[in-house]
This record gives sequence, structure tokens and C-alpha cells, in this order.
Amino acid sequence: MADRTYAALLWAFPRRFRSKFGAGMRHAFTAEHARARAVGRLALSRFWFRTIADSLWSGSKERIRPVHEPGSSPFPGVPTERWSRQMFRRLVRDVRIAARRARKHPGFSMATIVTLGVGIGATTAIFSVVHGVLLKPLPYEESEALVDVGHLATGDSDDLRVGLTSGAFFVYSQDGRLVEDVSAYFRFPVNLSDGDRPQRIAAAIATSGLAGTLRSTPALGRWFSAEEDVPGGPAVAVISYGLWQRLFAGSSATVGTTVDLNGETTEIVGVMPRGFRFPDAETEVWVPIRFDESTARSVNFQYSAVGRLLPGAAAPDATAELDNLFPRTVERFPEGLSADELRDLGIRASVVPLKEIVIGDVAAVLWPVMAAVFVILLVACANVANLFLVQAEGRDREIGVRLALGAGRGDVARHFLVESAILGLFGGLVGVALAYGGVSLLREIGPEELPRLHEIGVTLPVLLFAVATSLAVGLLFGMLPAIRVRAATALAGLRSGTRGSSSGPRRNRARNVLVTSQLALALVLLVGAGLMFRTLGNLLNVEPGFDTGNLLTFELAVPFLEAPGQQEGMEFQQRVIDRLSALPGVVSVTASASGLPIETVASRNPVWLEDFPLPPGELPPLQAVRIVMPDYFSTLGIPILEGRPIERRDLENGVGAVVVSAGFARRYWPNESPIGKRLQVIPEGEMHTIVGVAGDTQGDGLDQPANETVYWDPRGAGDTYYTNTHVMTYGVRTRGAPTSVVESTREAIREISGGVAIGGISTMDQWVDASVARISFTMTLLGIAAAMSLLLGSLGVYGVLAYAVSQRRREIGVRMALGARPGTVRRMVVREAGVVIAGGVVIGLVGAGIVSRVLSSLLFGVAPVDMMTYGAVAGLLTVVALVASYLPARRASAVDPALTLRAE
Amino acid sequence: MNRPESQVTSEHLPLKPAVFHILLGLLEGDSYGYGIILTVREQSGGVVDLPTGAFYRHLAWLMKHGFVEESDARLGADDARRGSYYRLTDRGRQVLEQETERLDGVVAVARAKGLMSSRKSA
Repeated sequence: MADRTYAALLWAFPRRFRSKFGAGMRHAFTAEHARARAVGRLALSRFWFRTIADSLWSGSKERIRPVHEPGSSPFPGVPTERWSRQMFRRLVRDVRIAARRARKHPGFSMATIVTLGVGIGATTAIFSVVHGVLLKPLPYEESEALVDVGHLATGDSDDLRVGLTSGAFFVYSQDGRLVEDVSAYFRFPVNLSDGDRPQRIAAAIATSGLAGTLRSTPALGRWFSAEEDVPGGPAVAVISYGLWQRLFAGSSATVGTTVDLNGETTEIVGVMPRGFRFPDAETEVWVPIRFDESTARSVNFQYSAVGRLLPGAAAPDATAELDNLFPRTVERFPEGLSADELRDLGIRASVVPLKEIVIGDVAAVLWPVMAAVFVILLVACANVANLFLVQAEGRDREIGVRLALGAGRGDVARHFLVESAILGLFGGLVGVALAYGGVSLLREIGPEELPRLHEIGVTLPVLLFAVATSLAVGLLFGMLPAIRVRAATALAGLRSGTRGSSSGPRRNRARNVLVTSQLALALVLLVGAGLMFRTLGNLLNVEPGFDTGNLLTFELAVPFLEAPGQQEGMEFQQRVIDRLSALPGVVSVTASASGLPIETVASRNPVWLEDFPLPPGELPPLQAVRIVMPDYFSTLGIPILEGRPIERRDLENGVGAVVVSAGFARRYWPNESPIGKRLQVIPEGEMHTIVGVAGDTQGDGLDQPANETVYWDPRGAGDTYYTNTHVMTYGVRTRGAPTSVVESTREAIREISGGVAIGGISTMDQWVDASVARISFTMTLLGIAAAMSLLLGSLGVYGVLAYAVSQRRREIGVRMALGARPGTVRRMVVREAGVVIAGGVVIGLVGAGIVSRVLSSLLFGVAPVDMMTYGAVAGLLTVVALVASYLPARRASAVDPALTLRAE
Repeated sequence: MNRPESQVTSEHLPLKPAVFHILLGLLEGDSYGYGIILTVREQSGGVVDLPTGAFYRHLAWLMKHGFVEESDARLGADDARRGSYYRLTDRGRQVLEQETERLDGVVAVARAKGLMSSRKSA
């Protein structure tokens, strides 16, 4: 490995030098490498640094001013100036010459700088997203050791990540060895009131160790203690910096004051520092979780937990350790289900780095986009390289003169390098400016769900990236003409300078290869954007199974003080529903204790069917379950296909009614009506009767299969452990725009109770938008990238043809003098372009077929190799490129044969 | 055209310390690239520690001016991967002598100005 790296480094030296001394150099490297490795890690890294610097430095010195080449010193015997001083003087001269040239050719310079600026800007902007989201460590001390402690359950298609039970928290934190400082938490919105209007605020209940696990300390006051985190402990809270500023104007007297939190007078004991975010940026209040070890449970995996891996321990080892402890959670906190039964549900412990949990699957979006913009950079480089090649050809005469006057080839080549490096750096400047704009744009259009969105910015590593990129790019495209210079001879330059000869086939080939690859790259990006476009279209065409228009949604929490039990909570919610239904502009109102379709993924629970008895010890499959209030189906617009919906009388008589979705009915009773069948959601619980069948809905999102759902009324489900009637999601069907009733809704709720707050006000259409945000975000980025590369690609075609035509004026003139018609000349030029375009299209199609697989996880209803998309994109590219080639063709046919021939 | 050899070689004075040490190292006998690097490191007490690339450029320079040439000598337990062996030429020996003389003179001047004695008394 090391030897191969060094062999690559040796490419810094010219070939002749390498072939003469390469063997000895490799030997010296191997011996020194072994020595350094024997000494230690520090010596090894110093050795590598030295080796890389030495190879690049000596190699480029040898390339520019070869000592090896015999007779390269033109006047032997003249004492030579010290190399470094000479080098510096030359550099200054080169910079001056380059600047003079750039001013003299403003069109060329501007084209280069802008093209590079676009490429570097796009790359830098996207890199800042990749850096902020994927690469940068989480904002906690020693964050690499932080892990998420939870469980996996076997789900419909893939594994679901669930949290842990309170019982598991005690077992894992007490008996686990590989994960330290396990702390549990749970997102829990609260109503906060400081005497004025109540606000709904995202909060988390957490064990007292959480701040320690995250190695964070409050900026003011303290975190709550273990003594406060016990059942019946004092009501205390820690608040965020933002809330402190908003509510208390940053007053230092805040610690010790009290606020009303869900109806309970709560003392604020601490303020977290600015920038502290856990578990997400929205969370602004942390209160003790107050677990009770004597009543801890072994089912209900609702809590999340973080811990720290012991130094040297790996996440899989910790997973294995905790999974061994898992049966103990059931033994210590028995609850009807045995460990084996939970195992049958596929439940097992899982420890993964916290960063993976925070980032989620966004990497699937970001890496393809990063690759796409990198492609733009390549296309931009190809364009600039082309510009330079054309320039260099136009400068053959100048180069010839300079070589004839005694300039070394190294001088001339270095001159090109300096020129391109300078243009590259200017391009980088433009790029950074564009990146600043681009990043703020991305923050604007980035999907809300993009994790760490607010951690994105043009930071120092991003700037370093931009500088490195622009220098690398500058040297990369400067290399091409420089190499050509190395091959040039003074005589050839002078000779060809005497006549406007047409360029040789080899040079044309270099340019054609560049343009072909530009077009191929543009096509790959266009295909990517096209596939995302089709995906979005397919998603938006999916029938959600309910009416998403004119539907206002929000969350409402009933204070426990006003409604202590589940029954009271339900009655309170019903009062709100009745009150809101009477508002002008409102058609009907409903609420659900398990969220609305698309807005929330339904929880999955085992459902026992009377008709399908199971052998003892076996668990039925998990089903999507939603607990809904009356008028749910009519308000959302879900059709009742058979029987009746859940009605008011079901709440009142308390028998418990069940409605199932058509898919669920089909699966269990394909040939008979499910009406009258009975089922239950807790083992040995009361049986409930199915009263109706509702249409299927896309409950989990538009790109997911339609749910087989079981709907319950809260009264019937009231005795199950997962019912919480205090927090419900409302759906308000309006006559006009949903936002028009927001104020009257707030007002009406305040009239019912001053202590109730509503939060998360949104419309169902916004939820639909949010559910496709990831796709539209990817599509927008890929689309912009594709448009830019198409533009750059067709500029490339135009540039190359225009140049070729100008070089061939004489030949064209002769042809026309001999009787060729303008149309024939035009066709000739376009035909030549056609070969290049066809090559680009074919290579691009093949490339797209390979690359589009990367996107397959994002696609919906369209295959990575979709004939229609590929065909349309290839057609578009061909048309645009042909148009670009038509302009030079027209110019060619406008050549006046008499003029050209006279010029001879 | 036919300048005396000594005049030609003296044009290259003063030699760079690295170059001087490489020539000195080859005085002991023919050697291969890495062998010379090690000898130079040793005889300079680690003061002159040449990175591989820089060493070979110096070597190339020495070969271009005919101070060093490739040799077909091989040590007893030869390792084919070591690359070529190098030998000091007569020209090389001459320029080394001239440089040593020059340095001698410089040291004598330094001594005459009381550099070493002042250090002793300090």
C-alpha cells in the first residue's frame, strides 16, 4: 500500500528522471518507511509529510528546471543564481505577464473566471451542506463516543427502530458495561405560561444524567439533580438559551423564577448555553422524567436513550451485550409478555452511533448531489481547458518566437501554469461569493426535515475546500497547454505562424474528446434530474385516499389539572370539537389520538382476531392502529365502503367500535363481510366489534404502500396502555382557505379554557409538500446542476466549432469558389458536430445507466433505466447541441470565397 | 575551449553542503542511493538529512557535471532492488579536493580572527 502510494508520488518527477532513478528511490523509500514505522506513529506521520513534500517539491523543480537533462544549461560556466531567489523573480514576472494578458483578452479571462466560478461555487455550496450535515461531528464534546441505545423490531418491509422501555433503561444502565452514562429522554410538547397567554413548546423529559452524558453544563444555574428526578420530586425545569432570551429577555434573575408548565408551577433551575440542541433544535425545555423503578415496564418502547461507548468498545459489541441483557428486562419487570414472545416480534437491542441516528438516510440524497456538482466542476474544467487549448494554438507563433529567442520550454510551460492558477484563484473568488449566496438559498429551500440544517454554513473547512479546489482546477487545466508546449519546437511554431493553417487532426481530437465528455456528463445529470422529476410526478399522482385540500391541522393538549383521566380528556376534546364545528367557515372537525395520515405514521400494535386464534405464546402480526374521534372519516373525506363510521354514540355507550380499512378486510376476510367480526388489541382483553369498512389511505406517506389500518374509538381503546386522549391532532375541514379560520379557532379554544395551547398549526397540503420535500429538494438541486452542465456543454460545442470554422476559412473559401453551396457547407459543419454529439449521447446514456442506480432508493414508480426519461433527455441534449453547432455553421457558409482567396 | 580541468571544476565552488557530503560519502567506496543517504546522515551527525527526491536531484546534478558516474560494483550480499551503484570520478575527487581546500582556508580565517580561542576562554 505504502509502496504503491510512493510509486504514485514519483509521477511528480519527469519520466526520464523516474526511469533512471526510480528503482533506487523506491528502495530508499521502503527502507525509510520501515524505520519510521518502527519508531512510532508520530515519526511515521512526520515521515509521510516529509516524503510527500519532498516528492512534490523536488519533482516539480525537476520538471521546471531539470538538472538531469544533459546540456540544459544554455551557457555552461556562468555561475547560476541561487535557485530560490531566481524562482521568486520568475514567478513575479510570470504573474505580471499573466495579468497583462488577462487584461488584453477580457473575453477569454471573463469566460474562464465565470465558468470556473460557477463550477467552484456550486461545488463549494454543496460541500458546505455535506460538511455541515454529514462530516462535521455533532456539537457535543467527544461526540464520537455518543451512541443511541434502542431496539429494532421487524417491520412490514424493513426493520423499525424503536426506543427502549423504562425497565430496559434500568437494566441497561445498571448492568451494561460497554455503554456508560445511559440517559433516557422523551419528546413531550408542553403548554408553558408565564402568566400571559400559554404557548405550546417542544420539550423533553429526561433522566438527570442527560447533561452529563452530553458533557454539557448550563450557562446559568444548574441541570436538575438525581434527587429531583424521582417520583413526586419537585417541579423543576431547564430552559434553552433561545427561550430565555424570548421569555425573560436574558435576565440573570431567571433562575429561581417559576412558570406554569402544563398547569404545574415549575421552578426554572438552569439555562442551557446558546447552541445547545438536544434531541433537536426545537426542544426548549427539559424536565425530569421521574422514572419509578418499582413500576417500570418491559413493554412500550417509547423512550429514546443516549450513552457513551467505553473507549475501545465498538457499537456491535455493545449491541450484543445489551441484547443478552434484554430478557432480564422482562424478568425484572414482568408484564404479561415473555421475553420469547417479544423475540417473536423481532425485538432486539441495538446500539448505533448517535450521528447515524441524527443524520438518518439523508446521505442517500447528499452524496448523489455532491457527485452531481462535482460533475459540473469537471464540465467547467473541460470548458476552460478547451478555451486554453484554443488559446495555446493561437499562441503557437508567440511560443515559437519565445523559444527561438532562447526561452526555455520550462519557462513557457510555467508561464501557462501561472496564468491558469491565477485565473483559477479568481474563479475561486467568484465561486466563494456564489457559494455564500447558494448556501443561504439552500437553507431557504432545504427540506425542514433535513437534519442539522442550521449547522450549514460557509465555514473555514469549506473555504479551505474552495481554495484547494480552485488551485487544483487551475493547475489541472493549465497542465494541458503546458504539456503541449513541452512538445512544441521553435521552428514548428514559427512555421505554422506564417499561415492560417487548419489545425492538425490530433489537436482536434483532444478538443472533440473534451466536448464529447462534457455532453456525456451533462446527459448523466439530465437523466438524474429527469428521474427525480418523474418520481415527483408519480408521487403527486398517488391517490392519498382522502381529501387533502382545505384541511387545517394542529395539535392540542388538555392540561391534566382540567381533565385528570382518559375519560375526562376525551370529553374535553369532544367539547372542543363541538365548539369548533360551530365556527363560521368550518365544515366539520375531528381529532385523532394517533395523528393524521401523512402527517404522522400510525403506531404499530399487535391485533388479535377472534376468527384466527393463535397457539398460546404466539403473537399476531403488528397492524397500523389509529384511535380516532367521531366524524373522522367524513371530515378527512375517507369513504365508508360498508357498514358505518365511528359515531358519537360509540363514545357514550362505551362498547367500543372498530372500523377497518378495505385492505385489512380483504386480507382476513377476502370472501365475506368483516362486519360483526371481533378483535382486541391487548392479550386476553375485551373483544370489540367491527362496524364498518373504510377506504385505504396512504397513512405512512405517498411513497409507502397504503396502510392496512384498524381504527378505534378512544372509549373502546381507553383501557389500552397506548391511548392518550390528552394530546390529539385535529383536522378541521374548511369551506375556504384553511388559514382563514386559524384566529377564530385560537379564540374559541381560549374561551373553553385559558390553559390550553395549540401548536404545530399547518395545513394538510403543507404536510403533503413536506412528505415529498426530500424528492423535490433533490430534484431542484439536480435540475440546477443539469441545466448548468447543459449550458456549459453547449457552450463547449459552440466554442469548438466556432474555432474549427475560423481555422478552416481558407478551405471553406476554396470549396465555395469551386461551387459548394452555403447549404452544403452548413450541413458539412453540422455533420461533423453530429459525430461528437452522438458520441456524447451514447457514452452519456451508458454512464447514466450505471450512475442512476445510486438514486434508486429515492425513485418511486420509475426504474433507474427508464426508457422514456432517457429518450426525452437524449433528444433534448441533441437538439440543444445541434442548435449550438448551427451558429458556427451559418458563419461558415457566410464566408466570402473571393475575400479568403485574395488573402492568400 | 581547452581550459585546464582544475579551472573547469572550480567554477562549481562553493559546493552545496549536501553535495559536498555526497562526494565525501563516495570517497569510502562505491555505493548505492540509499547507502549514500545513510552515510551522509551519519558523517554529518544527522545535520544533513536528505529526503530521497532531493538527494537524487543532487546526484543527477553531480552526474551531469561528471563528478559521479554509475559503477558496476556490487556489494557482497547484493539486493537487486537497491538500484544502481555510483562511483566518484577523477573530476569528482578534484572538485572535492578544491572544496576541502577552500573550506580549509575559510576555517583558517575564522581561527585567525580568534573564533575558536574566544570560545575556549568563554
